Amino acid sequence: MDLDRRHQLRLGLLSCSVALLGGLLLCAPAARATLGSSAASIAADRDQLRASVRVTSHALYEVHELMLPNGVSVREYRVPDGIVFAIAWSGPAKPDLSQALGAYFPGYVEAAKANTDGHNHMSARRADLVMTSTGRMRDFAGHAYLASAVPAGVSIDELR
Amino acid sequence: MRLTNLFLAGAAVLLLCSCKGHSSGATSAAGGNTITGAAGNVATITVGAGPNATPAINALYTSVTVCAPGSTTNCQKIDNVQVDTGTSGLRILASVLSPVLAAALPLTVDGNNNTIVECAQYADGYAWGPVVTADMTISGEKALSLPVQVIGSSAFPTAPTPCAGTGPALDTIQTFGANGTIGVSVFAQDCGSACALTLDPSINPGFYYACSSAADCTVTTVPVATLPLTGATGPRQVSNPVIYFATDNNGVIVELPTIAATGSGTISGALVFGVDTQTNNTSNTADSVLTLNATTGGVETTLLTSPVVAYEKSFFDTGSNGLYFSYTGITVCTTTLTQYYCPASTLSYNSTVESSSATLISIPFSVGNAQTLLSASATSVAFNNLAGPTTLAGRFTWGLPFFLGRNVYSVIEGKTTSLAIGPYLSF
Repeated sequence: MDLDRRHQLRLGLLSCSVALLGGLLLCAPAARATLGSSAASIAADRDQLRASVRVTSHALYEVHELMLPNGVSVREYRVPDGIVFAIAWSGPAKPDLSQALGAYFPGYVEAAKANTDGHNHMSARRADLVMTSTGRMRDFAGHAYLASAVPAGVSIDELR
Repeated sequence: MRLTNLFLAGAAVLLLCSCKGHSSGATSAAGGNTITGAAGNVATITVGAGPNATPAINALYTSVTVCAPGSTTNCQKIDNVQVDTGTSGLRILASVLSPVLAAALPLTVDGNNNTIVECAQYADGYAWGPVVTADMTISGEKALSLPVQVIGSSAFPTAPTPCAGTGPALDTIQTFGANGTIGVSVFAQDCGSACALTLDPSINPGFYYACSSAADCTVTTVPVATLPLTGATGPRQVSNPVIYFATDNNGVIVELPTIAATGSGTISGALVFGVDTQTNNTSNTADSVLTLNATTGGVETTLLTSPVVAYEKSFFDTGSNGLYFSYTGITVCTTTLTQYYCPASTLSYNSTVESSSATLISIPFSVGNAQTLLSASATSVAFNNLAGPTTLAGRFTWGLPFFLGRNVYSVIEGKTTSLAIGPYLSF
């Protein structure tokens, strides 16, 4: 059974431009919690823009999904009171993976540099970090997870 | 001739057959494609080794000529430009442009005299660089005053944080794997209306920046091109060059020859411009129309071989060098080839792709042993059964192997042919 509670929140970290365009600020909000961390989730961040978070509880983990008005979604998979063991994203653009992946971002960069699949797909493993990034502008998707931290009984197919 | 060779040749013909049908049930029809001969609306495309020392695999290239706007002399032919049906727009690496030409390509500026610089995002990184105006010629087709991205310009050396956070920079021939890219997807622009709506900038995906200096860039909106161009000035999004052609501007046909299942050295095919605009690009009325999602360009793929798996999002993409999908039961290669499948023997699968209009098209394909394929010959660069795993469920990438042995009609959003209105594919 899923527990679904949706609420507006404010984001603490924002890449805001001061360029006034039509009287509105252009901001690129970013998720706070990072892969492998046990920091307070994005749900603890502050409300800004029209981003929303949906928290879904599953038997073995919680999904905290940050949904931005531009259609980019970042989902963090957390063991209750534990660490974020996976991040998944989708939408017309990629999220700021340096924030979402935190200390594991260099591993993604290293794997991406070694990618030979073409620029519209990569799937790689670096030590405990497993990642796939696919799509092209208008439709991206991907995930990154820590293989040793995925709870027993959780299928990788769920991390999407 | 050994029997095994005959068998493999036969198998290659079988696996490349294009089978079509409608939701009432797919029917099969023997395939075999003819490559259109030289003409003003036909560019040669090549599956070749590319510009780097390590040969590329299943990478598609062509040549374009870039000129300063209005000039017929300040021009440069650029080869090893990747042909990408997954994206839209011409992008050239700054490092391959002659200084004389580079200096004559005007930067795009907005009303506040800020330079428009793009963060073109890719699955494995980003390409950062300014939008300039250029005249592009490919075969006999001209795209005049085309908005083009120059990747890796020394004038804008560092991407802003949100852009750099999407991965490594793809700004050298080594990292980009090409001298540039010509994106001829079913979309007219790389971003589209989401990057253009000034009334609701919160929906902006954030590909375009306005830069008052190299170090001061903020996300901005950029209009889509209004065609036909009437001398209007101002920024426009990096666009599919095809929509800028005077004629033959509703789409392309990607034509690549049939190859053996064991792989092939460099092969050439045709990129035909226009559909139903000339006698050499008429629609095949026997083809089914695969209408693509108007937002994503995707379709749903279902792998019919047990265990049946549905991939709700899939796309057809010459910019990916293999067929990539998650599937249990196919052995993944070891050591340095873990991005590919290595079954003990070649496996055959059947699948259907389904459009929003519920048209079902059957696509048989096979998965070879990448270790065997890639080690058989140092000169082999094209493979029709190269496939690999992805850990992300629900996604299927129909990369270059799909295009081998087919003529794939790709019609741009809103454009009309005798068969349908784009965005659609037919094959």
